[in-house]
Amino acid sequence: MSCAKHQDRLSDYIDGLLSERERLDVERHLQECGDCRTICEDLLYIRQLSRELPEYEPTPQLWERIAAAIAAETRADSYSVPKGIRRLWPRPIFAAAAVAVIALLVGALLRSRPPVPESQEARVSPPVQWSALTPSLLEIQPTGLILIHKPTVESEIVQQRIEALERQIQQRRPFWDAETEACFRRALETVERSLAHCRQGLERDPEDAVLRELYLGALKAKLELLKRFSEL
Amino acid sequence: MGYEIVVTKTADSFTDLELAAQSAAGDWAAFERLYEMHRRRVYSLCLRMLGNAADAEDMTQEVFLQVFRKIGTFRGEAAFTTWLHRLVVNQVLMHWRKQGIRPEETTEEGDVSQLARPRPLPMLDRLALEQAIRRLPPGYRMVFLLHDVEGYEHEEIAAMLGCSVGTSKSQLHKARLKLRRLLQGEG
Repeated sequence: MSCAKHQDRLSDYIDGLLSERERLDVERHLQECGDCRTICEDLLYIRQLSRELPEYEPTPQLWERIAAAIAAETRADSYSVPKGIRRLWPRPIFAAAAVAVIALLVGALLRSRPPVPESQEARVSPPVQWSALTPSLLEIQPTGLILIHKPTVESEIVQQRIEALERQIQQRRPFWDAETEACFRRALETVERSLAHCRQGLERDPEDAVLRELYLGALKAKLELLKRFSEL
Repeated sequence: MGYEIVVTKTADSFTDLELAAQSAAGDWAAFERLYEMHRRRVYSLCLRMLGNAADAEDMTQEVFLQVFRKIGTFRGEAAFTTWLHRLVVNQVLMHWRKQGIRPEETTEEGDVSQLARPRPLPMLDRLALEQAIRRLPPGYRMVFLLHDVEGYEHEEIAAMLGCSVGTSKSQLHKARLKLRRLLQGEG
């Protein structure tokens, strides 16, 4: 048998897949042929090295992407997915957790800021009702960006959006399960606390630009929370 | 007075079959545990099949979405990793077909005989081998990865790829010889 034919059997030989007769035949040839022996040793080396190749780690964000994709899929198919999976796949938790993190961050930032000293408070203009100013100051762009306008610009966009979403939620809420209800309530309480802190601070100092940014952050969190839960 | 020893199972001690059953029943923690246990192997296989990290992550995501959709069909007849790798293979084949790659047609040169007076391979590092694997034709690459890297037998590979055992053996042999030439710098 030629070298080419023996070489054709080398992979099966090193993998132990030849019959006894074939194996002995190959081994006899390998004892006599240095070239085929070289190739055989190389194939063994490649196979050995391949078995030692490491496993690689995907990025941590991959799991978040998978979870979000599953949440989106179960939401889209909410009426066809088996009840058990619907009930237990925690898609409200994804929405609530993301929004609550933003609100908690805003709250933490607020608490970490030093209080305005009394002497400075005396120098600012008299306290203004923040709730009266809000609609005038805020406008939501189609991109979702919230712009701050001067108080002379009237805008009811934010409040109207929030009210519309709240009406949608009121219609759907009776059909939520207990877990979804609890998730929503907890997240909403967190966001409302942050908004209340911001309003209190802005009533003392309406010109505090940082505080306005924080308020916008909390407001955006509330909008996002209501938007997500209005789809459930 | 005696003591009662209560043994409770932690998430770490559940088998793949138990975790699959729990996942199918809607247990999110069980599904996450399955992901934790198998993500590296799935990702590594996708990475070596596709050759870049971005595609490999997209493919891994798609595979685990398929796991989510089909977990209720896993009955334990085969090992969970085998079931999982079948999903990987199917997804990769679909991906290649969309790109116009037909792995079953990559029987490149008919003559795979090695050069006269072949030189032995130099000492290799894993990087050189990884790079050479990436240069294998898709069909060779898939069989090589499933057999030499993942440890599947030809019967299992043939079942995954829908080919004969003989084809699997032939593709593996050609893959190894091609790798040998690549590692010697002979292309």
